[in-house]
Amino acid sequence: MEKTASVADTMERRDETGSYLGMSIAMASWAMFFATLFLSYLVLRGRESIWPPAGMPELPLALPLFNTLVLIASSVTLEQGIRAFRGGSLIRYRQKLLLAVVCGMIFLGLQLALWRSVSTIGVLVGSGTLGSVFYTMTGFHAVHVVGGLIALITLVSRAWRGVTPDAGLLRARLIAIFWHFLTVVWVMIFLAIFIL
Amino acid sequence: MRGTIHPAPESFWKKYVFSTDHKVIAKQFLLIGFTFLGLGGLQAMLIRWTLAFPGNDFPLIGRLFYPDSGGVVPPDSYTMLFTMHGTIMIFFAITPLLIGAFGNFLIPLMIGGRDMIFPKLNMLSVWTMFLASAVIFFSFFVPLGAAASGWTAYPTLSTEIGYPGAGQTLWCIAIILAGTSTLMGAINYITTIIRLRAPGMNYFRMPLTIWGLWLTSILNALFVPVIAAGLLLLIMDRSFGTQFFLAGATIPQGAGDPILFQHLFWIFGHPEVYILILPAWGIVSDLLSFFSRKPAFGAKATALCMVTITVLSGVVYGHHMFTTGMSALLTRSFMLLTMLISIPSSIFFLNWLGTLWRGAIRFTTPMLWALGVVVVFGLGGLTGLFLATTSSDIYLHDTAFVVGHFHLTMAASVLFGAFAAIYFWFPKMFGRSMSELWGKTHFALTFPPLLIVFILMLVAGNAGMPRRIYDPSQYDFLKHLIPITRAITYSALVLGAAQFIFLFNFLISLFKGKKAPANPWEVTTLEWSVPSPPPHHNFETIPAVYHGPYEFNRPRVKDKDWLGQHEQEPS
Repeated sequence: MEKTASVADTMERRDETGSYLGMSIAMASWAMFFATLFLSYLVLRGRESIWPPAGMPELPLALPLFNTLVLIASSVTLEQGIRAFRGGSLIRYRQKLLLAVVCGMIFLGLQLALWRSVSTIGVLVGSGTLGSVFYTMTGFHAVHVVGGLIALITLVSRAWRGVTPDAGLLRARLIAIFWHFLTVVWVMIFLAIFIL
Repeated sequence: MRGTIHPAPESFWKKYVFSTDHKVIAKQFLLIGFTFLGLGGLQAMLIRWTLAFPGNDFPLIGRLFYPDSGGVVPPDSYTMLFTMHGTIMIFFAITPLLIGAFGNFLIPLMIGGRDMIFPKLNMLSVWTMFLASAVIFFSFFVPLGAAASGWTAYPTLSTEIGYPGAGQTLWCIAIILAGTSTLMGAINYITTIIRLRAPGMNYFRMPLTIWGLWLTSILNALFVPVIAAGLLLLIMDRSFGTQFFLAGATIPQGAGDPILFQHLFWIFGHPEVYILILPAWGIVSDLLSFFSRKPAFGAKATALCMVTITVLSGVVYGHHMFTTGMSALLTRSFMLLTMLISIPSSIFFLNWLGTLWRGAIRFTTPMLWALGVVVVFGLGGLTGLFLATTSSDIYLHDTAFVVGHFHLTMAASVLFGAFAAIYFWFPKMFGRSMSELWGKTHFALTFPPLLIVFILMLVAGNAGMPRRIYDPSQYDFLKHLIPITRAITYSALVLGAAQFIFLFNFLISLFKGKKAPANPWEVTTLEWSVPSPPPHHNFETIPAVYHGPYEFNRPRVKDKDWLGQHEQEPS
């Protein structure tokens, strides 16, 4: 009897630390992925005597700046929502979570607008290194944002089914880690491509 | 529910196909690894045949592959052969064998866990690998065939201009998928080793096998994303019109940089060779101790040396690029850093010899393969010094010397490590014993030809034989090397034929082998404390661990010369 009891013990145990650890390692991997993109950008940019390269227009600043604020707002509201959830307020969690998702969608919509406006001033995917770097970095980031949004939407559906903090908080926190990661990466892309 | 345990599955599909059991997943990886080892080996034979007898048809089965040329390997197919040989052996044979199969099988069992910490991620990992294998396999059948720009896929050879076929793009996709699979495994392995060690199993009580697999996983987690990003950029260049790696007259508005790809490739590529060899080092360190019946000499130092090498491996990649015109400062820095690796390598190599010194050595089949690794890796390591030194590397770059060197270090050593592991853990995996006699025959017919093949490659390379050449007889300055080339090929054919002994031994033992006891080798680690094969949840109760894995000939232990990690020393 003792032996079966010990099997049941581990079956009940939920290793939250392990989950955070696994997620952190995954984030480290993703950071290396984006770091590689940044490195490529810096190497290509270092080869040019002026930036943007001769004949290329300046990239717009206002739209991406506004979009950066939108994504930061999304991260902040998500964090507020999770705080509320941990405090037991499911209603506030739902509101904040939904707001974070809406901000994420606005971000994606504005990215589409940004690509359109950049292509109209003559920077296309095939327009040398500037176009390559701009579309690839913002594009890969946007693909990840889509993935993050899908994960957030699963949280929304769980929140509406009335999941308790006991069962749902870990999942929400793990997805939030990924979402904040994407915000940080975007801020770095913004600084590197539009400001630097 | 995220637990470390899941109920035993009932249906065939849940049990053998979509299994979350680390032991079943290990066997799935083993199957993938063996399949591609066979394919990669066959390609090696075709390459060697072409080099020694250009224009002659490959005996027996040549017409099957090249009916249009009457069984002769044509030049463009030859390029494809060496590209896919390297790719398949590295990403689809050795990685699934050592990291996929033995990583999965051994980590929970050796640290006293019931399974991996994320079993579903583990299943996803093997199925991503299967998808990657399917992509790389079917890339042979697209128009223009599979990738043919070398396993390093340097632009401009690998761009649309150099190779317009879809095979190259599929190659990139397959490597990214295989990398994703490895990454999922790495996240699982690292977390499992940190979180699921049995009580008392502190880090320095872990077997060195686990150290090797753990450090490999850390390198995988950090550097596989680099090649994934690099290959995604290459796909962007090939399919979406970006210009990261394109330069020259074709690109009017600002140029990309082909050398950038080489940087990205080797930032990953150098850690990759340690990713491949670290598990083998760990396994060999353990087996040498187990079959010398004495503690691994300086086990803690060996572990710390492996940690040092893991760290250093991330900062030496430039030694692959000495001929690209890097700045002299960088060249010298990379040379110095590379040379530094020989210090920890020498320490643990001497520790291996220290383990053997005055041991009561049992020459079992796994031990023979482990000793084989010592010899082969020793040779490979020494030849590395010539390639780390800029002045000699510039002469030896892209010669057969390089091919001989890296086959000794990361191909032969790793393959021998894999064979040692298979012969050693086969009883635990399948509950039956492999034939010792045929295992030793396999070793006797593999080891000498393998040494001849790669030592002669060093010789030929030093005499000026370029790598990746199709027909050496076309060049006057290579004509006198043809006898060496032929000798390599004859040895390689013997080597290849000898592997059938292994295949049959494996298959016959699988079904007809003698039933294996729980601990046939009389060793100390936790996996041998449970029946062979282990039950679904490995351990009925999680064992308590009292000491490290190298307790042999303890004076107070009567009637046996070893003390299991889960056993207390009698007082």
